[in-house]
Amino acid sequence: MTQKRLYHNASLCNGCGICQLVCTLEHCRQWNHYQSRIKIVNDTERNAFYSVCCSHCEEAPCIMACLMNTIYKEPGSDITVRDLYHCIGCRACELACPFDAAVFDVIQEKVVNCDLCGGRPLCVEYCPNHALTYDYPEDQADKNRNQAASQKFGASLLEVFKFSGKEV
Amino acid sequence: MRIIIIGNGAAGNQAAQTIQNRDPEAEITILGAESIPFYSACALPDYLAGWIKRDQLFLKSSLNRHRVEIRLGQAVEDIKPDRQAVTAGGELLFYDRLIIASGSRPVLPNIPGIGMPGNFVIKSVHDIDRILAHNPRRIVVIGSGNIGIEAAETLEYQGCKVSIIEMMPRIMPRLFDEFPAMLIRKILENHGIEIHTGEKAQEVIGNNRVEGLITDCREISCDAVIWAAGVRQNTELARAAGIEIGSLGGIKVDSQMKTSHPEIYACGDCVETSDLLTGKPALCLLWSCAKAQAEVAARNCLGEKIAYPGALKLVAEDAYGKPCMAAGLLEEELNKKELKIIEQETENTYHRILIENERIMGIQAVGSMEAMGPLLYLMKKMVAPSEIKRIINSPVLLKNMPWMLTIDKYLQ
Repeated sequence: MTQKRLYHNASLCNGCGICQLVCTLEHCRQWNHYQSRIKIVNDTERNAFYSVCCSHCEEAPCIMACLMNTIYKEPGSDITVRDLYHCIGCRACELACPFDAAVFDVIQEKVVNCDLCGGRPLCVEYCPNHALTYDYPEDQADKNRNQAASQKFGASLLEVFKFSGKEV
Repeated sequence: MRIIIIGNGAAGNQAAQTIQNRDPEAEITILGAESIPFYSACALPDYLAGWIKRDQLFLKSSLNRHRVEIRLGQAVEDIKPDRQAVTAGGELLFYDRLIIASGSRPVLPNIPGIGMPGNFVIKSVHDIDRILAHNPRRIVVIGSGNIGIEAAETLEYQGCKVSIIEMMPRIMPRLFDEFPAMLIRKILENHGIEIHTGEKAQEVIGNNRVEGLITDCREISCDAVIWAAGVRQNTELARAAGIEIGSLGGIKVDSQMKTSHPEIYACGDCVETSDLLTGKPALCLLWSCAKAQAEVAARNCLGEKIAYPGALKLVAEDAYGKPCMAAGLLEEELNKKELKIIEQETENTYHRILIENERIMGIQAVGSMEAMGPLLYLMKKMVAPSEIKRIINSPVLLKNMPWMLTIDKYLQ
């Protein structure tokens, strides 16, 4: 059974950071972005923004790394969740994560990851540019394909118009 | 299939879990020498400090108990490979596959006074219970490895006066290079832990109870000595059964975690595997290694052919709120000529990356662990730094791997 996932469209994102603020507000009751489960990294050279967030890997390295067996796959879905009562904050999972998506929560002194807000991600709701979407992987792949195809088609259409001398 | 697992630790339980996930019909027997259920040995210092309660040490297991028999307090007496059986509690138990996960035990040197009350090790829950019951106020910790530092820190947190004695010239000699070790030493000393390096414990003195420790330089009065000077593999059973023992003292296994005997596998602290980076034989006494090895051993037990890539030394430590981590090899273990060291120091953080032959061979960080996860992964996958640069410079590749941006500044 597939689960909906977070997707980030870098071409729409302007790096406002509202997603990080609402994430921290929802999970830590704080108005800053330091403990956000979703990270927005800035490519200063190209002035682009990308998001880093837990991708809920199929064979998650954090599950193997956990010293207290607190990380597990939610039964019935493929979401990686944590039992924070047993977490000792050793940060082994943070080191094991190849995507830098596990976040150390300095208030609880525990490591947390994106839990998709239980199926209704606030970052998606509050994204002003609709850069973040919450979708099934198949639908997202369809969208990407459509977008790529229409981009290519549009480019070739422009060529045709140029050739025929019409103004676009 | 009837599978017997010797050892009720991280490796034993992970092996049982993996077997049960893949073959729910397998009959598993876990034989544990300790009479308490499966607990996390890594959380013992937190329990010593009082940060977690005793019940939080015990880990929940999702094993189906209809198919798994866990016999606690039953040490295995011997293994009979020719009859495919083990004896435990006077009973003969037959197996199709045997997994040895017998673990390790702390090393105690043979010096006068070692048998007195007040000498402790940190290995099991009972050891911690004993330390808490003793209620020491002035403590000497021998050895400054991972366990020694954590024990010292937690006991200092409880209000004890703590001294650390280390035989080598710097603390954490097998984990950190000289400069990062010095940084950690400064952090510890600022919080009131005395550290004496280059000294060796000679004698424990006292009258029916520990009253002091004599090293080759000084005499320290104390009421408890904690021995954290390394561990030794439990290989007596395997040795008696004629299973080959490696040159470093662990049970010798191939990449499928199989011992010299075809039906017997081994995993966890007691084995000697190869190092991921160098391929040389290595001992790896870490929780994550034990779990990875157990998974490989269990899957091979059931007939899959999975290879274990090798053990990577990886330690994360918390020195008074400052996260420290070390992975891979040290400067002295690498070839001086081809070695390139990237060091970055700010007011609160220090990063050191060792690169040999276009391969990342060692990472050490003090103060911040940001972006170390992706870097470690690249180290495990043996990605060259030039390749990382290529990904960062290409917008198409970077779009799919944005975390590469965060590690860029550490590779400058």
